[in-house]
Amino acid sequence: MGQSGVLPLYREQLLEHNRVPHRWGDLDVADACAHGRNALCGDELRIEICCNSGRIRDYAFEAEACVITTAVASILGDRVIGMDMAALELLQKAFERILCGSSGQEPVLGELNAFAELAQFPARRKCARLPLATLVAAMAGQHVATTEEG
Amino acid sequence: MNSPMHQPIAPAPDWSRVRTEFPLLKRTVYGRPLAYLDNANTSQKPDRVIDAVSQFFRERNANVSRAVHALSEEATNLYEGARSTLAEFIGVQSDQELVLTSGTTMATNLVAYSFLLPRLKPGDQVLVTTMEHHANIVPWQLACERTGAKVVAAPINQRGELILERFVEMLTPKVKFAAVTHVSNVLGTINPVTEIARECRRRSIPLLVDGSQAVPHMPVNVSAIGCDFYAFTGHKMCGPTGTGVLWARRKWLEAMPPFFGGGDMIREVHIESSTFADPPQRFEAGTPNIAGFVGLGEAVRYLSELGMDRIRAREQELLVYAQERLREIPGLRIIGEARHKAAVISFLVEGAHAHDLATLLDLEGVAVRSGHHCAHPLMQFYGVPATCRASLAFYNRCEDVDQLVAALHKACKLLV
Repeated sequence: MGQSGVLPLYREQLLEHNRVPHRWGDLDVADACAHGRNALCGDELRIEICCNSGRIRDYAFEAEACVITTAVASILGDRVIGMDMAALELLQKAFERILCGSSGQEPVLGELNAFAELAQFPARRKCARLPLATLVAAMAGQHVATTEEG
Repeated sequence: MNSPMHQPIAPAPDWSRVRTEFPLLKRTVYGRPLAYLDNANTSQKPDRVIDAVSQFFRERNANVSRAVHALSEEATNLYEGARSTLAEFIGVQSDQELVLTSGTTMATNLVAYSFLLPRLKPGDQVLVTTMEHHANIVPWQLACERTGAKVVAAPINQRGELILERFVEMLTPKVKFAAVTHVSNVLGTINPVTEIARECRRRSIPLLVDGSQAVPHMPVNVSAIGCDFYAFTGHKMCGPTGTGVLWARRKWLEAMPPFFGGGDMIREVHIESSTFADPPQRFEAGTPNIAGFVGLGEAVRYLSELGMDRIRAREQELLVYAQERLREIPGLRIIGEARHKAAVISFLVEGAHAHDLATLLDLEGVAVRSGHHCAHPLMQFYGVPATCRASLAFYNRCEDVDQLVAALHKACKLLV
């Protein structure tokens, strides 16, 4: 695999999400909050959401994490407004398909399709999974999430 | 110290020729020459070791200590020969004090379950340091949890050095066992293990020294250190994975009950009960990693011929060069600046996460490790979630360091 196979992972679009993340910070009023932590690699983030009739109305996050985790969390916030748990689970399944390389693009993912290159980097997939796992945990009323096995 | 293995060999090795003896170092990664700087994680293997393992399987493969046929005799001689070679290499008189294990982790667990567990009572303490690898913390915690004892850690200073006075103060009558790393896998700090052993002996507190990062990089004389247990692993010293050593004082080995049961560790078995072999066989149940130890024995002969003094000196040169060059990177902070340190450099770059750096360095052919390095308490001490770590070996070149520095400049331009 040449270098061209990797640099898209660190393309300007994602670096910009890392530099200036969307929906960064706290919500004035949050219905749920979950803390995502991959202790082995040192990625941490906190996602707060506000819901209306089971649908996400507002989203905010803060992270001390790598570009991959931060950019996914930033893009995710824009993507999930209006979604309920069932829609989130479909989103998570589609995201999993592109991470594992069984699908190149999924319409439901929008800008999250940018992470399809992670199919070539199994060791970094857990970084990409962490924000969505944390959001699903918050929706389910859980307070912690991790995407590290064991 | 009288071992011929520890005497300097003249003339100095031609390090560029030595490098050519490691076939893997010739490969490329993403089209770039490989700069392998993850030696604290595992070392590469020279042709001699690879050939020894291969030759064993091709010409001598048999089980040890069981059959009477010629092949079994040869395999047994090779396996037991490796034990003797290892004993001489670390300055130990009797090779019967060496238990051959799968690595340091198995060695520390053997001590935890067989030696420590029966000796601990509620309120007792096991003293470690903040810079320990998880393999030198978690086994003691498991023993403590079962007995109501607890693990306590002696602090380090910001340079990453053990505060020896504090360690000594903490050696109270409550402490029933102490475990200290010889060289930190994250900071490179070389601990004053001889002084530590002296203080422990004064108080009759058994001491285990984790030599995983020491034995591959400097002359080690376990008898001169004066500890009670010394553990190390083979794969970090040019040997195969799945090999390791626990050295223990004979009196302790004799007092220790078996940990694993099975073949090879018994004297006589009845359905109701069994009697056990003497140490070290008592602790080596089942078929061991015979080919692995044949390879490790060859690795020790290889390192001895290069000379551990010379290896240490070579790696110190590389360390000085690497630290100097890394300081050119704006925002780079080296974690661990002990006065006595091995060629391990942990670092952070402001504004860049360790994993992103490691992925971007990998793209430039530079292999480093990122993460917590199996040392969470140390990461907590420095208040960082993860670091990048470049760890050097004698077969590295200044060009490998240059490749690292160029790749870091490029990565920082992207991330910072």
